Amino acid sequence: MEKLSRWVLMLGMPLAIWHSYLVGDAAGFMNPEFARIFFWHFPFPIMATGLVSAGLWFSWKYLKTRDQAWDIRSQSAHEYAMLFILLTLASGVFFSKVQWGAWWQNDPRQVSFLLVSTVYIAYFVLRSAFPDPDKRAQNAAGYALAAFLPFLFLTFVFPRLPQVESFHPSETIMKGRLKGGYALVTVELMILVWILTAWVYKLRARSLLIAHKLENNYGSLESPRRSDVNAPVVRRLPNAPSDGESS
Amino acid sequence: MPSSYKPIFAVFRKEWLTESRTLSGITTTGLICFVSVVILNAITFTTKLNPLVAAGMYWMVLTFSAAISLPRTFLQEEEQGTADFWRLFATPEAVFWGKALFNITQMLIATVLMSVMFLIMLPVKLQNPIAFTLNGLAGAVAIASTSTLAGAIAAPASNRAALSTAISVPLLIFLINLGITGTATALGEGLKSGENGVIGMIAYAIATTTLGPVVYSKIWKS
Repeated sequence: MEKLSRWVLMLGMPLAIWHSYLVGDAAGFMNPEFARIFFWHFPFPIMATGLVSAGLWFSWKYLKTRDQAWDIRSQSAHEYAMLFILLTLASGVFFSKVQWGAWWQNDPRQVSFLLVSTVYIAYFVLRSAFPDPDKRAQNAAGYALAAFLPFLFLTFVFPRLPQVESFHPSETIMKGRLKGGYALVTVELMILVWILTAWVYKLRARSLLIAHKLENNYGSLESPRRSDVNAPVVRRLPNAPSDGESS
Repeated sequence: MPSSYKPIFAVFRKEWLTESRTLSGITTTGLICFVSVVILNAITFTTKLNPLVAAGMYWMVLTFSAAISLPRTFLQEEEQGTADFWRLFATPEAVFWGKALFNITQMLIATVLMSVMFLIMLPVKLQNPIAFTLNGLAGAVAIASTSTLAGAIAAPASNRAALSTAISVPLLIFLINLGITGTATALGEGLKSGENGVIGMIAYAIATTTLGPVVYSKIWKS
């Protein structure tokens, strides 16, 4: 399955990028050629939402089983969720500049995703505050559960409040306005980004699990040389007899 | 009183007795609110205040005063080494509800005082007192229960005081937004369906008070 994913990515990604330049420019945009950033901007928040939900599930599983493996999975999911939140913001900022003329438009969706980023930055701040792995896992899992409510509200409720007016069109996909080549490239890249996300998430979680197992079996992975303060420092005098020589 | 409520009120009573010795929590919250309103008054005394900006200031003051002072109830247990005592003798739900109840009381007092000062000292006109009151009270409950949970999560860390503030503010962000919508509408800002902000705030208060004990019971044992 993993091999297949790698082949699909290796062949599919260049083809999809090539295809995205073959479709005609979108109508009704200030810079139609730059409208192609939508192909990348669209899957990022969806991946972020999926990974935050997965992180929540893994956190819940950790609290039920107290198995460190679930915390490691939750950490990996939150790390990639954070990456996709930042990619959403970065691609959004670029899109904002080329289509609306300003790097930061104060658009409610831009602001809500920025607020979401602060919620999950706090998750990593919290993790770094606990040196003990069990306490870290337990409290980070508790925070992940508590943070899901503001995440849901900020992502799904806030941008749709009646008093909130956004530059983001909310009905393009629901009403089938995305057609032809544009729709095809959007679906292609959506699937490919999803496969890529699943693959890199698995790699990260697996590497952390291996590191955790090694540390459990052999102690710290770091060399004790630099930290070993009890090692004696022996300085040999120039005229002193070497070991084995009798005086 | 049903027997299941007794441990909750015992925790609440303990918090109240501890607080009554020094009144440090209530005076800290009150002072932050008072000084903030005085500063806002000093900044805005020559200008007419837009209801939306005024509502933003109101919720910023309430949120930050709560984020600084409310997590104390859990933090001091770890500092005094009494957290393990609770683990031996009480259920997590009773501890959380008792402490949350105390924080809610403290926050309600602070909100009422802050609102009175805010309306007297700042150039704002109250158009809808019922929406303003309901929004403020529901917001106080939601802020208190969220800050209590943030305090419980951050309590075992060594930098617990700074950490609890750092993690409670992001959790309160959406609440500030809902609060601003309701308060701005009550102060006369013509927001589309602004009254729904008050309903949203009440729903959020219910959600946070329900979620708090569930999460706390899961991180209770360490």
